Formats: sequence, structure tokens, C-alpha cells
Amino acid sequence: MSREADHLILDPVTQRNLELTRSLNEGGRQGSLIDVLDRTTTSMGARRLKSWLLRPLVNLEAIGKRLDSVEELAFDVIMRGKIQEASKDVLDLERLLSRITLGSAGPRDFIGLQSSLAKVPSLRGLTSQAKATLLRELHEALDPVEEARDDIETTLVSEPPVTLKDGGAIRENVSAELDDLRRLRTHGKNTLADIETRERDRTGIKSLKVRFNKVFGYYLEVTKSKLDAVPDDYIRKQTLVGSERYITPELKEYEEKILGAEDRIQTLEKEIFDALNERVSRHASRIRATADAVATLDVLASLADVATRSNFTKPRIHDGFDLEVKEARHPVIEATSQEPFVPNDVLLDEDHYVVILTGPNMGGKSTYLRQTALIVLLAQIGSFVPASDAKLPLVDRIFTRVGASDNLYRGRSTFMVEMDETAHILHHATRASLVLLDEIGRGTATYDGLSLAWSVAEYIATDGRLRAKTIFATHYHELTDLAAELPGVVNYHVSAREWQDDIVFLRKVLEGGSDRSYGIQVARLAGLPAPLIRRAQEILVNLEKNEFDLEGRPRVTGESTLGTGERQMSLFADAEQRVVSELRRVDPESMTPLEALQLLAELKRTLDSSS
Amino acid sequence: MRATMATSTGRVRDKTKPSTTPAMRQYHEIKREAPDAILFFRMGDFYEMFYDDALTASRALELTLTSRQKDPSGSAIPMCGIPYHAADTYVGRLIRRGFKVAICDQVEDAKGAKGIVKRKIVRVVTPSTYLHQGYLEAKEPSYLMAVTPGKEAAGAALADLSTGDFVAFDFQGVDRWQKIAETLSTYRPRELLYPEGNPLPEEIFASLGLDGPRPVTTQRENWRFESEGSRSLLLRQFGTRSLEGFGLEDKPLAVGAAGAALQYLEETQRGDLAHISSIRCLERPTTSSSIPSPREISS
Repeated sequence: MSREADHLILDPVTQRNLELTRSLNEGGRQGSLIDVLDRTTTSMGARRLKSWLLRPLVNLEAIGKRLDSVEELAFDVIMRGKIQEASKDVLDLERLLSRITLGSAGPRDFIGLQSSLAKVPSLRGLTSQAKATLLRELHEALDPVEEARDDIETTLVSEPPVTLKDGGAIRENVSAELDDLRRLRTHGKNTLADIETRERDRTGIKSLKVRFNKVFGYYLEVTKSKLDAVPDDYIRKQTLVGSERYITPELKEYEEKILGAEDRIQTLEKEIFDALNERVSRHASRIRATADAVATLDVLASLADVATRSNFTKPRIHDGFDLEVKEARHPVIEATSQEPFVPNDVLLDEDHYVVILTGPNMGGKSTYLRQTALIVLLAQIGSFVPASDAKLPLVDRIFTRVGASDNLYRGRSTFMVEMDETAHILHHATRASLVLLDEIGRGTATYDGLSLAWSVAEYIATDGRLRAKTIFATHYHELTDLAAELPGVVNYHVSAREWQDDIVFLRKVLEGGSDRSYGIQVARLAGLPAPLIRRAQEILVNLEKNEFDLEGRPRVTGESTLGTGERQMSLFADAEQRVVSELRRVDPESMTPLEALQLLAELKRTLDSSS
Repeated sequence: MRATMATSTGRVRDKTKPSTTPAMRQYHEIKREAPDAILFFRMGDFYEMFYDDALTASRALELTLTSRQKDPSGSAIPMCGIPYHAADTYVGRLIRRGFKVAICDQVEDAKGAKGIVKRKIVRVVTPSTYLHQGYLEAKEPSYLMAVTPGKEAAGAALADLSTGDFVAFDFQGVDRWQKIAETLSTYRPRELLYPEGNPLPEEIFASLGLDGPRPVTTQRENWRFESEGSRSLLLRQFGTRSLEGFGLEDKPLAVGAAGAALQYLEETQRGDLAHISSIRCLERPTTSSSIPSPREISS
């Protein structure tokens, strides 16, 4: 157990983007993957699950061991149910143990340890028939540490006070001296009660009481109205508003006995307790090993529980390249959304490893990206996955670049963050990585953004070191042309239908590109004013008129000149820009008609020569 | 983090005059052991704080500042106190604000004591070592992290005192800070130790984003991160003759970080750490990238 294999690396951005342990919205656990996944019954299990989730495995054998155990527990409902039932009563052994070895544990911590260890034999019994290798190993590792358990049971009472100082934590028959002192104390207290009765009878004061406080010890209290009946042998100690307090030599004699016993009892109880602490601490490493096994068993049972409830399937993991998932779902959205979730297939193989995903905003692009990442990640922690069938390669890293983390950085522009994250991905991704890019180039001017998005996709698809499995979601539908130019690139789109100027999201991912992004319809859904929407539609029509060149190709893409390391943009943007800026510059009021005519001709020439 | 007591008391103490009361003499002696913590000095049913500690704590805890005694120069000693049974609440509040608290108790019965009652620091409470149940979250770990920077390499160790979990990392390559940042983001330690004069680059904290609190950072002397001493310390803790079984042989930076973390825990707990009985060395694949990113070149 001292050495673990390498782990799948999830950089901080990806941990956050995939909402593994906290949601992006509220930053809380709710809405995160762990919230859906955590059906553990112990705190140890909950912490273990989190550590698995943040450090998935990259070792086929180790993943296989976990998956086989989850499978067995998923099918053996009875074994799983009983394991979860039994581990419910196991307290946080790890933290109990640390309090004990650090000497800060109270009597109830020991009882907690004892009752938790008492559950271990039944967990051991439940796993005795298990077949999966890891379950067999856990069965062996579940050590009930009987010595510690018995020791606590015979030393402490079953329901001790919170702190040792409250007294009474140590059982009878542990120390003869302690038992004697306790008898003496009880006897002393009975004697005090006898004295009270006797004095009431002797003096005829019915309200006479024997009481105790820290300053005077034991005393007799008599109310003011009965002062006449107080006998001479009472010694006055204190006068209060409504009463007087007295002592007698006899009272003081018993007081001494009782308090002496009390002091000695405290000292003895502490000695016995400290010795127990010392003895239990000696079993620390065995208790830790048991805690470890309980935590792992708890996580496996939790994963099996989730797999059954949420209808997950066992992934087949291999060390090749291809990733093929049928009817993949997003585990968190599926669990939390009211609407039925639309499952989608994912295929990334040697021939199609870069997917350009287009379609309307809100159409489900991000969901498709994230669910693909989550399925890979779940499989590599040893969990079943939300799909009807999953054939998955071992992935060394998952990279994400999605818009949602933009506001998490202070003092850096959205675009700078976006480029920073993109650079990180391009520098660190390998052929075995999974890269998910959402709306690259969104944070800057349209043409800058589009050119960057284009070249990033091209770089990933062609760079010899990279050629990683990539899903590239974009609203630049111009990018769909990449598929025609580069091997390995394939177009998908999330489907939507326009219906009476409105938009209906079908959320099905289909092959082929989307020709538009439905941005205006989405804006309408968001409640932008109707005149504004109409104006936007006019502008769109005008823009689209100029979108294609004479051969019907999108003007912006052009031919790559990768040989020189440069990429030429179409001149179209330049020419139009020049015309516009020239128009801005001139002042028609100060021009002669001839000058105006000459300018017009020149502008026309500029435009003509560029197309 | 804060001005230490040594400066303020050193100035006013005059060796030639008969010094202050015996209790205050004892206070100064004990305070020297915990210069960077607020000292809770047990006096009867109260924990008292003096000098700068009193000023800091009275502000942080909204306690009334008083001055009971005078020091030899005649000026009043600032003081504030809290009832001992409420200590946990106040310790928790100070820890959450990033302070450390040294708990100094009376370690003999005042009744039987001759002269002044014996006192000593029983533990130092820090953000990663405060194990009160109201402070720890059941489903979250509570890690202390130590980092040993090296040339194009770094070692890191994470210890969870509350569970005994102990892991070490050996990072090789120019992108070591990236890996440290990833480790920070994954484990989210509450406290971070680093060797003095080797400040950690600010960018490693960027990965924590705005949603994660930054760990409290503490400088420690360089020798505490040295691999030789750390190695013996680890061997003693685990009762082994080599670190091979833990995958830690020939990883001096990781060993140094693990030793520094363990030593800090021993120092703050002043007790047995028997539940920390092994360490795991986690491997990280070396980055296959041949192109260092611009940030790495500049670091």
C-alpha cells in the first residue's frame, strides 16, 4: 500500500470546470459530481471518495480491480445493503484514533472506537464470500483489533460522561482501591442524608437542609423564620437574606472523608484512563489499517449503489486510442433536472479524433463536452458510467477550456485567461489526453477569435505530438470547413429546430455541421426587446450576404500556407475596413463634386480588387 | 505574520533591576518558545494573554483589554483573558483568522506546588492542527503541506493530523511550480510550510481561484527541510531501517518536505503521533511536453 501508481492529472481549471467537488454556481457541494456520487455511510468513506475523484487511476489493473468489486456489489444487492447498514455504525475511526494517540480523546471517544470495532467482524463476515480480488483483500484487511476492543469494554462503563472529570467513567472491578473509595463516598453521602433527617427530628425544623458549596463545603441551612429552634452546638458560618448557614464538627468530619475520597477517585480514574489510552495507542497502526479498509469498502459500496440507482454501466477500459460511448448521459444534470435527459453517442477514434461541435447556445454543447469528460473520469476512479455501453481508452490527462471560469480571476481579462488556459493545454496535452474546448476565441473581436479558434483546432489535429482526442465546441460555424480540409476532423452539431421564429432545442448530437448558431433566437428567449431583435435580424441578413466568396466558400477560411508558418487571412476584411475608414476620414462638405466622384471610383476599385 | 513578543518585551526589560513578578518571569520564559503564536497562559480558571498577544487577541475576539500588573519600568502590561472552559470557542475563532495559539497549562496541582505553579505549553494550535470537532469538517481532510524547492525540481509533503494520512511528492522538471499548484488545488491544505529565504511564487496560488481560501503560510528554518535529518526522523517515526518501502529512497526533496511536516506536527502537538505510521510517495508522470510554456521559462 505504500506505493501507488501514477494518477490521471486534473489541472485546477479542469477540477473546477467539471464541478467535481463544488458547483460553479454556488461554490457548494450541491450540484457537484461528488454530491451525486456520494452515498457513503461513513465520513472516512466520504473523504476517500473525494480523494479518488481528484486522483483517478491510470493503471488498467488497478482500475479493473475496483470495477470488478463495484460490479459484484452492484449485483449482490444483499451483500451491499448489509455492508452499508453495518458501516453506518462505524464512526470516524481515523479521527478517533488521532485524538487517542494525541491524548485529547475523552471517554466517549473510546466507547466510539469500541462500538465501531465491534462492527468490523460483521463487515468481515459479509465479505467472506466475495469473489472480486479487491473485496478479498479488504476482507483480509478488516482487523477487529479485539485486544483494544476488549480492553476498552472492560475498563470503561458503557455510557460514560463527556469528560473524565465528571467522574464515573471507569467500570467497577477495574481497581479495588477505586471501588473502596467509591463505597466510602456513597456511604459518606448516605450518612449526610441520615444527619439531615436526624437533625430535623432533633430541632423540629422541617426545612433544615444539608447542602454543599465550594467555599464552605457541607453545611446546614436554616430559614430565618426558624432561627429560634437552632441548637447551641451549631456554629454559624454565613448569613444570607432569607437564611443562616451552620456547620457542626460531625459534619466537617464526614466532609473530610468524602472530599478526600473524591480527590483520590479523580486521580485514580485519570491514571486508569491514561493507561488505557497508552495501551490502545499501541494498536494504532492496526486500527489505521482497519479504518483504511472500511473507507475503501464504503466507497465501493457507494459506487455500486449509485451504479444501480442511476442505471450506470460497467465500462470496458483498454490501453488503445478509441473512445466509444453509446447513449452517454451527464450524471449530475440527469440526477437534478426535471426534464428527461437526452442521451448522446460519442465516438473518437483514429479516423475521427477531433470533433467540431456546432449548434445554438443553450443547445447542449457544453453538456456534451462535460459528460464525455465525466464518463472518462468516472471510469478511471473505478466507477460505472452513465451510458448504455462504454469502450474507453486510458486517458493520461483531461483538459478543459470552458467559459464558466472566467470570472474566477482577478485583474486579468477574460481573453488573457482564455489564451493562458489554451496555451497550457497545447503545451501539456499528449496523444493520450482528452481535450475539451468550449468557445475558444470568444473573448476577443470576431475575426481574431475565429482565426485563433481555427488555428488552435488545426494545431491539435495536425501536430505530431498532439493529435489528442478533442471535442471543440464553437459557435463559429465557419469552423465546420476544417473537416473537409483535415483528416481526423469530423463535424457534429447539436440539433435545434426553428419554429415560427422561435427555437426548439432537441439536444440530440448529430453528424454534420450546423449552419447557424441561432444566437438571435436565443437572445429572444432571454427577453431582449422585440424591436432590437428585428434590427439584429436585419443586420444578420446583411452580414450573411457577404459571407461567401464567389466560389461559394466562406471568405474567412482561405488556404493554409503552413509551409511558411504563416496563415493568410482573406483580404476581404482588409478591403472593407479600408473603405470604411476612408469614408470616416473624408468630409463631404469640403469636397468638390469631382473629388467626390473620384473617391467613389477609388473605393469601388478597392473592393473589386479584393474579391 | 505578526510582530513577536521578543521585541516589545526585550526593550522594556532591565536586567539590573530586580525583575518583574515570578509569574511574569515564567511567562516570558514560556513565551520565548512560541514567538509566532498567541500564548494562552493559564492562571487559575482563566487563560490570560499579555503584551502584543493581548492587543491582537482583544481586537480579534472583541475582548476587554485591561492591565493588571506593571512591568519593572512602571508601565502597564496590556492583558486580556478568557475563562478556561470557553477556550475552544476562542481558539477556533483565532485559528479561522489565521493565527496560531499556544496553550500553556498548569501542569501540577496548585495545592501541592511550592512557590510558583509549574506551567508548560501543552500544544500549539494551528490551522492544520486544530482538531476540535466543531472546526473539522467530517467529509473534508485537513492537510498541512510542506514544500522544498530545488533546482528544476521540488519536493512536497502533505500530512493530515486528523486522520494520519501522509503523502509525499517528488516533482522533477521545470514545470515543478505547475505541479505544486495542481497539488495545492487537489489537496487544499490549510497550512503551508516553506524554507526561509525561499518564498513560493505567487502564481501557485492562482489555481485556488476565488472560491478556495489560501493556506496560511509559515516560514521555517532551512535545516528543517534537509534530507539527512528528515530521513532519520521519518525512520524513527515509522520504525523502519530504510525508506525504500515507501518509495522515498533517492528522493531528497520529498524526504525533506516530509521531515519538515512531521517535525512541525511533533512540535505543535508535543505528544505521540503514533497514528502517523506510514507515508506514500505518489508519482507524477513527467510531462511529455518538450516546449516549456513561457511562464515556466520565466520562473
